[in-house]
Amino acid sequence: MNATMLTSMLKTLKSYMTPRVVVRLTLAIWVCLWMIFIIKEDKDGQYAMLGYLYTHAPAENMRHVVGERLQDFVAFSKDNIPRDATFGMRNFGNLALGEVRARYMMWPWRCIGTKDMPDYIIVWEDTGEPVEGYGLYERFDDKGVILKKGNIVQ
Amino acid sequence: MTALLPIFYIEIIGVALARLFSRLSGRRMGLVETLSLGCFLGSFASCMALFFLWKFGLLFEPSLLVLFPIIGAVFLVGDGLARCIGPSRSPASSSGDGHLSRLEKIILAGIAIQLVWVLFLTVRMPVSAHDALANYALKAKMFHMEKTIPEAFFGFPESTVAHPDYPPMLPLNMTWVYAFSGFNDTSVKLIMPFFYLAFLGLSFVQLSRMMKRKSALLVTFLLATVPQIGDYATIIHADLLLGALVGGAFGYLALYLSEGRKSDIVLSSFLMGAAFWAKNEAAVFAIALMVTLAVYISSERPEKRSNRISDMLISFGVMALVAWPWLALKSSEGLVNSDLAPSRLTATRLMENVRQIPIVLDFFQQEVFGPKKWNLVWITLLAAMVLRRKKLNEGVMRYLLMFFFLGLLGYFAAYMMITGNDNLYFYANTTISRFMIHFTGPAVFILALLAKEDIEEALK
Repeated sequence: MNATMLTSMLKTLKSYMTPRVVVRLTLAIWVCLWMIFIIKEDKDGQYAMLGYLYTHAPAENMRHVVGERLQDFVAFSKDNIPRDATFGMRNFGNLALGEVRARYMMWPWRCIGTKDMPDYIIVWEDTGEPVEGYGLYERFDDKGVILKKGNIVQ
Repeated sequence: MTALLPIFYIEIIGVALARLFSRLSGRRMGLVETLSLGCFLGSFASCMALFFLWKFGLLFEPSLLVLFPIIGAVFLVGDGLARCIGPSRSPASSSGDGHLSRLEKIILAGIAIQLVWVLFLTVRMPVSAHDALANYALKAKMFHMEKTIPEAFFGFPESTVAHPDYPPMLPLNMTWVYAFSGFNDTSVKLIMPFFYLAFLGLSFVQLSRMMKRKSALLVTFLLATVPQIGDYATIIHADLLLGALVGGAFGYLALYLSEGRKSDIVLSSFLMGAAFWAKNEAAVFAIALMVTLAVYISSERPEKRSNRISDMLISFGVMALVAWPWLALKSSEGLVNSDLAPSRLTATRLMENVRQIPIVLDFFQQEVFGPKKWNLVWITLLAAMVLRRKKLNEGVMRYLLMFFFLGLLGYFAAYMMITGNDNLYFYANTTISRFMIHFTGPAVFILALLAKEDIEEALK
């Protein structure tokens, strides 16, 4: 293909690509992309999640979204930690989201940092490693425990 | 759906305020503008109501709060609801008055599908995302359960509540909803589609004053179907609220610059002032607005300048008045952002941030050219800027671009001044796609004006 041919092709293309055509083409691509991104799941399992949420009672939905263990552990903690006490959280590991959710669900129980020596510490995954100044208070399951300040006998 | 009634109360208050403004300023407002603006006025007013109840030591009791919508409703009845729902008589929006054409019906159907989709994703999903819980929902739960803003709230450590320095508009709006509906962190999310719809309505009204109704509808459809905008209408996040307020302020600024109506700049400034209550980033846009106005006025003919200077002073005054209670509180409580504190910025940290500029630019280009979150909005804007480059320095466009690029510059400067514990890579990675929401309204507006003739030609 020589330069003359290329120039001629570009001229032909330019004569077809009027602003009207460009705008219409852009709109067509836009609408296609819009439909694709509406149909396509934003995150894996999104539709399965929505299916669950639409077929269950709202009260069960939060439990499903945050996970049963977290919901039950929070309820257990609320049952066992006095209302006016402070708590901290430990070993939520990469579950930063779980920690934020727990803090949210626990309110009005007030969370403070573990460095600030809260009255209780909720341990998501107990490794058996002792926490200075704290001892076992209640055991939720084989991994989850609540530690209490001053309970030095585990 | 229990949130519908308190949201309706917000709308009643807002519509009453919009009508009051209309009466005082002599401005004619159509139904769509009244309802859309009413959403933001009402949202701001409900936020103010709770803020001042707290300031005066009164609890957030529904029996007290309900007085506000009652006063609004009484005003509306007195004002004559019939006039409020009359057709828009603003000059440009009448260009396509009458029955909707087939194409307009199709575009409206597209917007309706998008809205239904947003609602479908919203109504059954409880608040559960990280930032939604940490930054907004926990605060709203605290305010609701305590029936006030807890004592020493603004001094709470990060381990108790994240970023107590963040502006409280969204948590207070949620608290308003809870006050009437009871605590329901699923239905409260309906407030986001409410903001989304009002954002679209306001954009349409503003666009229709600058182009034909059909074209304005099409551009509104484009805005509605930007995936990131739709996605953020389904989760509790103040970015969409800020984006809507900045977009609204920008639209009214554009109208003021092209038509010179004082009421437009007042509304622009009001929305910009209200944006301070949504997110701290509003400061960047407020500065951009002030600089843009000052430059615009300095380039005006001397005989017009004195009037324009008075408009500018009114604008600054409105913005300051609206933002002042929050800024005063921030100052008195010594609230500082944990991630961006200029007083803590060292030369070493600045250099470290500067070295990471390529990373920020890389994230930026990924956003601009990736259609997953933005469809073609940024690509189309760039193309319009190149293909219609002669327009860039014409009329009001140069000022609109000045606002836009001052905003971008402000955000870039803020990235350079990051002082938080994580590096700039982390901050850019986690924020850039949200920050671009703040620019989407102005970007779509600029795109519409650059390609106005082309769009109108294509829709013939």
